[in-house]
Amino acid sequence: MLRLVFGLFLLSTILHSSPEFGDPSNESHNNKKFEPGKMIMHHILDSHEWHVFDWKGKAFSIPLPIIIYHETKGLSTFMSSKFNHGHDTHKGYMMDHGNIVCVNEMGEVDQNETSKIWDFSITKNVFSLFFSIIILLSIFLTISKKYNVRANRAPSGLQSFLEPIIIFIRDDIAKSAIGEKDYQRYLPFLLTVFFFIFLNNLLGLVPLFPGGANLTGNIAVPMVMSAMVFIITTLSGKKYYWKHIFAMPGVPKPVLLILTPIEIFGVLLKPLVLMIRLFANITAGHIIILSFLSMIFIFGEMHPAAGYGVSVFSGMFVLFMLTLELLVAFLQAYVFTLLAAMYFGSAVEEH
Amino acid sequence: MDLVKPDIGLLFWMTTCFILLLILMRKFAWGPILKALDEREQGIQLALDQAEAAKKQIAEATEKVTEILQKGRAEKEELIKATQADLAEYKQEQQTKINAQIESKLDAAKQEILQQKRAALGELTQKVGELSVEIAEKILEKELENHTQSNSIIENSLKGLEIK
Repeated sequence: MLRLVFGLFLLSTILHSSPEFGDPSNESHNNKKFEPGKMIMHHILDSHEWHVFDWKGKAFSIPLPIIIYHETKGLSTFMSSKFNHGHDTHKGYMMDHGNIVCVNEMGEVDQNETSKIWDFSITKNVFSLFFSIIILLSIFLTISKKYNVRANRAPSGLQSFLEPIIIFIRDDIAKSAIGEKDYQRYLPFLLTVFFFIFLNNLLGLVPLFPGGANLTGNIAVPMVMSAMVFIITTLSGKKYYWKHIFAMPGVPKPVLLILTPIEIFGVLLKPLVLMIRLFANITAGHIIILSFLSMIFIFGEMHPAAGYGVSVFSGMFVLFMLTLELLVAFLQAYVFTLLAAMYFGSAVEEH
Repeated sequence: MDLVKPDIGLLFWMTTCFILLLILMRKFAWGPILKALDEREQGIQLALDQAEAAKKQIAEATEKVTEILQKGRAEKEELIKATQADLAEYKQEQQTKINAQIESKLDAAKQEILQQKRAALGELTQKVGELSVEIAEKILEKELENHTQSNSIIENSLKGLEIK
């Protein structure tokens, strides 16, 4: 299975990595040098169309719906195929390096108008978000039904695979970090966060549509989740928690002048670190894998034989990294959930 | 599309979708699943407790049964012993009774024999007396004829009468 995934990944990356992404066949482009940085960034960043592969210099991509609200022009929705991979303008909009910009009659980018755009498009990542949510709901609603149908019986199938994870999160994360008294309130959030991150980390490793979007490695996704962690922590903070932030007991008053700002800063820093950890880990993993694959093409440009030679080693490294990423996918989901639980635990702590 | 600058679109969709996911999962997935897990765990605990209690009860019952059995055995033995003792005593009693009866009967028989003997002796003495008188009569008759002869006869007859 892993070999299959790896093979598909390699195949799609080779196809992906043709330098003129987004451009239809063009003689001058075919001589352009391979730019690994550009290719990697394209894989990691969000996009308005889902590029599947290139074939004979022509890009095959799945068009995604564009929803933009302009402060003066209002709402407009159309498919991203209208842009023709960034070559055409539509309704006065154009795609410039993956961003939607406004153009004037002359076909030039209008910075003033562009700043009025609110882009709510169903991008690659948003699509992936919907996809993962559908998967999560279908998996867990099926399982939850099983618990009703097969009440008081041993778990079976997918249920027996996920049940230990659910129990692990309940007993080893929620119960131990938050405490017997309050853990039940936070358990649904922790479970949802864990499975959401875990699934999307795994989907990010699948090279072909509908996987491959770097959702958990996009800063917006961990940002929303850590913001929720921050809000929940702040709202559930009890007297003991606030006392330790604003007036640490047993500390002399002059020291408090220094300590209190640090503590307040720490409250904000905790979710920030949570966000950066997930974002950086997942993005870094993708970058490493793509870098190893890029090496094949860098050497291949020097001489085809060098490319073939390096591909053996690169392939082995990519295989190793993908295996490691499987571990990281679980580990990061676990770490995020555990730290969130510990923050909740510190907020509800009482003495 | 920037690496570290979040897009408003993804922020918006992520926030709404994640909250929606949270609500749906909480209501339709985690609620029933966690409840079922709790119930099952409680069920298992209950079953274990019941099994433990049943085990204890069985152990107690077995103990009681062995106790009763032991008591019964002891009682039986005691009873047997008591019966044996009674029997022995009864036998002894009977024996002594029989012995006493035999003795008394024997005594009575001895007495009777003695009496009879005495009576016989008395009769004999009378008869001897009568006989002596007769003899004496005869002797006297003969004495009158032969004095020495008569004397030896008396003497002889008296010798013959020498019974205790």
